[in-house]
Amino acid sequence: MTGLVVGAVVLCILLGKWVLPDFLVGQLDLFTNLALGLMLVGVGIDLGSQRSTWCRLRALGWRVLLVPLAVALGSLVGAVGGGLILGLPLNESSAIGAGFGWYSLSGVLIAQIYSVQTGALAFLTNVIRELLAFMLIPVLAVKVSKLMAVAPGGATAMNTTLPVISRVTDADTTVIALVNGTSLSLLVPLLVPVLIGF
Amino acid sequence: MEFIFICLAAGGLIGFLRPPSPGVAKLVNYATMAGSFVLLVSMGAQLGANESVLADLGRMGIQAFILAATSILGSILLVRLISGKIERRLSAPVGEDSHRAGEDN
Repeated sequence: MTGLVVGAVVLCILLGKWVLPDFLVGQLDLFTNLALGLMLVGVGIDLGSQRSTWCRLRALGWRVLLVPLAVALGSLVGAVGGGLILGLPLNESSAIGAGFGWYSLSGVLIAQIYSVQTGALAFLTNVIRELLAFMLIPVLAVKVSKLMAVAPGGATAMNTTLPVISRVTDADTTVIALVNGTSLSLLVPLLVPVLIGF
Repeated sequence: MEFIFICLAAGGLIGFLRPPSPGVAKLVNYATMAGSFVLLVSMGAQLGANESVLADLGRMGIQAFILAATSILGSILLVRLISGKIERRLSAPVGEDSHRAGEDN
């Protein structure tokens, strides 16, 4: 799926460079806003209707929420650290880190609110995060601990990387991964605009 | 920015107050994917039309790898810090497990 998405974006980059007329490129903002609204309402409905996830969370204990908190904080601190190495401003690196692997939303939000260049960097960073997560999850689960396998995926732990986590860990860890992914998915549209605005 | 919060909150309220039936949930999933696809197409076209971004893609790839790696490293280290507290809970029995596996991000 990630390959398809990257392929589609590359195709559209080529279209934008050679095929689309300038006046149409200027109208893209309108389409982007409409699509963004549609997508966010859909994501909101999905998150709001997940009562069973929150019930399972109660069964495991609220302490489990420390996992998404640690993943979020670690991701932000890590991205800011990486940004310092690269000489990026704090608002850019932290907002990119707050994508938590959700490349489609974080890239577009930053491109819309801030700049296309930083949006592209956010998109690439979060695509690479997802790809690295696929490689690291089995290794971490076997070599370190099952819980550690939840960390690399970030928000993708509720969808694309969940089958991998489920395969290499156990039922409890899979539930924690689901809670982690759901919590982080809720945080992405809240944190990215706030952090990029600083 | 308000637009983002309003859309998300409106969706969250709808989902919480009137959880969709499996058929409607599937439609919502399709709509979300369609929105996501349009966003990616639009972003790709905007990137293609921006010469300075295109000229910078190689350097951007290296930057993206560093940012992704440091983000993951930070997450792993902090989860490691709290893992002792959580792993004790994992031995306690919990209810049945079901996933929303296979959905796209």
